[in-house]
Amino acid sequence: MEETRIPALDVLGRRNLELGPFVDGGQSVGPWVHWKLRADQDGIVWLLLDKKGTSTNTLSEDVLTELDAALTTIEQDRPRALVIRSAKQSGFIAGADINELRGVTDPTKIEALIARGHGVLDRLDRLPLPTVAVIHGYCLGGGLEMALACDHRIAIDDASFGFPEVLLGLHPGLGGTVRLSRLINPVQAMTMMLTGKTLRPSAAKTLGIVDAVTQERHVIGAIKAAADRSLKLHRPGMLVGLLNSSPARALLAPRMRRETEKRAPRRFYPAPHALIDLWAEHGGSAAAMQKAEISSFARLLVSETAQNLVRVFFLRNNLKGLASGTWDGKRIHVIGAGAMGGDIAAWCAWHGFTVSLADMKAEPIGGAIKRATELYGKIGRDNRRRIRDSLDRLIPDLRGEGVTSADLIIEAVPEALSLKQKV
Amino acid sequence: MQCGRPLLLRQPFAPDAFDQVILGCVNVIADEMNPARVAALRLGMGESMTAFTVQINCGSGMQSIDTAYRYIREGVMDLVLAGGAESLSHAPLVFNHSAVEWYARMFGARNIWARLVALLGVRPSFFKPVIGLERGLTDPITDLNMGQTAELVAHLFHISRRQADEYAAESQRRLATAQREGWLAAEVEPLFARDGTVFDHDDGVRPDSTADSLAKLKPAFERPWGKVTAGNSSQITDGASWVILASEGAVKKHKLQPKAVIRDSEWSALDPSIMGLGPLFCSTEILKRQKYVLGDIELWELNEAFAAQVLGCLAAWEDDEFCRKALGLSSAAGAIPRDRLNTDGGAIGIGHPVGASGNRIVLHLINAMHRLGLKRGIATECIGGGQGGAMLIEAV
Repeated sequence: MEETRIPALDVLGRRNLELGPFVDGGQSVGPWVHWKLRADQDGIVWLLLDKKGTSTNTLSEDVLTELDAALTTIEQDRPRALVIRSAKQSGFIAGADINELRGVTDPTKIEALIARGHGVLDRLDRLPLPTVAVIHGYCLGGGLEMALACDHRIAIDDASFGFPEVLLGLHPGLGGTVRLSRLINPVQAMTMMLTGKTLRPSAAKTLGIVDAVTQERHVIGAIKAAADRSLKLHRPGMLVGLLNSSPARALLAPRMRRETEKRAPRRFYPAPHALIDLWAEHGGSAAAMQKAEISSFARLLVSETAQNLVRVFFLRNNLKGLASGTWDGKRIHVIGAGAMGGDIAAWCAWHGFTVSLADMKAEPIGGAIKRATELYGKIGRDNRRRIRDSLDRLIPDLRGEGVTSADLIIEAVPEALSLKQKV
Repeated sequence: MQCGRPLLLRQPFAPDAFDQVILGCVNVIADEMNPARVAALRLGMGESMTAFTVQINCGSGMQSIDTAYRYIREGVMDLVLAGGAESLSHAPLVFNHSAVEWYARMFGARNIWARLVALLGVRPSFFKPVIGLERGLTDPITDLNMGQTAELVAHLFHISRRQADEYAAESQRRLATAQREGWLAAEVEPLFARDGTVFDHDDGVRPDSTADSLAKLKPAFERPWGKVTAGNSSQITDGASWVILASEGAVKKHKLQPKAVIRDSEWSALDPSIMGLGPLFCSTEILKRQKYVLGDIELWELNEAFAAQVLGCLAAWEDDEFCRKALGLSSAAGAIPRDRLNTDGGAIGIGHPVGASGNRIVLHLINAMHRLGLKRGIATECIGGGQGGAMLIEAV
């Protein structure tokens, strides 16, 4: 009998995502398209975002409108606790739906739209029960702003956190500037929003953005601990209040402006400077800062800089879409272990291909291995396993024997005709 | 030594009548790099007795039987002594009381899983700190220790802490009953220390364990929310076990009384992070080859590395999707009744001397089938590193 067997972990992998009451075919009790709501046996309500028609969650107007309706139900039912997480394998929420931000010209319209979003997240923030965001994969921009409106943030160890708005000529616009600068050291909060850098869970934990970092297998335990308030909550310390005080802001803001001006002059990049202004002027009052965030965001969004950067973002995405054709190859053979060949080989091995690196001489291959080791040390940081496995996949090939089993052959010998002909 | 001597003593042939000695051992100590040969010489099997040691982690004790079985089946050998032994502690410590006390003070009673395992025969039970084992029990490919792989299996098959604790308490109860009723007498030899102390039973058993008392233990591997504890895991112990394999010719020649026949054996491998599911693959392969279904097997010994891992295997065989896609069956294999599985307890109470366990579960399966009047059984174990081994046995 012919049988096809699938590796056990591939069969089980999809089950890894802990979806609480939805695990054994549990159905949503809500009428919504993007959100699923169901209580587990401990009386904890799970609200899953599973945005229709896409593999990645983004925050759009209808997602927020539905969330508002779901919160009405939760306010009435008063469950023991609320869990918010994504049902997508790809991650939590990758940010706001940028499509909705394209081509808008009227700042008052944007303000009205954004204010409605603020209303929904404020409502989530005010819920009189423990709220827990369980975060795997991407948690960026608006996704992080929603997570910040919860009492607890539990990170799975593959999560990444960031506010990349500045790269689109914007700053966070759903209360993120307020909530982050009041949750953690505002200087670090500003740094995060000014640079747009993403953080790994361990760094997010150190800063106080998340309360716990764990694995899928302990999500239920972490949620229970949050629900009965035994999970140690990160609380902003005295320092946060102190640094948000008027004299501290007066002292710190000019330095931030100077540093920012060096890298992103206000004339070309208004967003980071608007962000600093926002904090410098309103950092002392959450309500005032939130109000100012809305109008500042609207101003930036209609600006030429932001609209151009958003356009570039879409062009880039389209290009990525063009390049996203699948290739089933696993084996790459690179001829020539010079700077170019060696680095191509190292890059391919890092991305999971088994690479034979051929050269007539051993020394260049040795040099390529050395450069690969250094490269992996930089990009892999503490990921010892990936570094080891990548170096394992990078096979020195002095006799060119890897060519027969290769799915793709890359020629990278010096530009000399005789040499090329020889190859 | 202490289990090999009585075994050889009761044979109608001389110790040098064997063709080969094979011993499973995971952590070979520097003093005895080939413990099989050392054991052969010290057992008086003669200078011309060839002997080698095999290592496949937790499957080593079964690998020795399987290797002997295949040699005999090929017709190149007639009589093989196959065993498994594990002793991670250094021999001098065993006899050095001040050192033992120093260890005891240093690690405290709760963290020392020093056990005597009196199996088919016994060797000195050495005190050893868990900490020294951590690296050996961590998979180098996935960086997960064995306890963490059990956590993952528990998660993927929704095994609760309560279920694991209940399984562990029942296992302890079964072992206590077996000890009390003398059901282990045919395979456990008392051990005599040089100072005259006699160890006549395995003292890892905790008959007073209940699911409630086990629920109080903290997770051993992944705090604070893990489910795998010292109470619902196998105990790290020292121990040894030997069995004799003979060809039909040797049985006739020496007028032996065989206890069982090996019908089949199989080894399988899978992702190291779910190594606890190893038994599913090798056992299912044997069932397919022999045209059996799960229910045709009358008795199972599935090594209790972790309660959650045993329960994960049982759940997987009842899981339609998993059986179809991962095991290549047409539907779920079904349920194994609990009275047909690890009927006299297992490694949770007796301990898991990694090199010896595979040998011990084969031997115990045979003895348990004799006691219960059953004929067909499978002994199987999960193997650190992502493997599994299984052996189909028929009682004679």
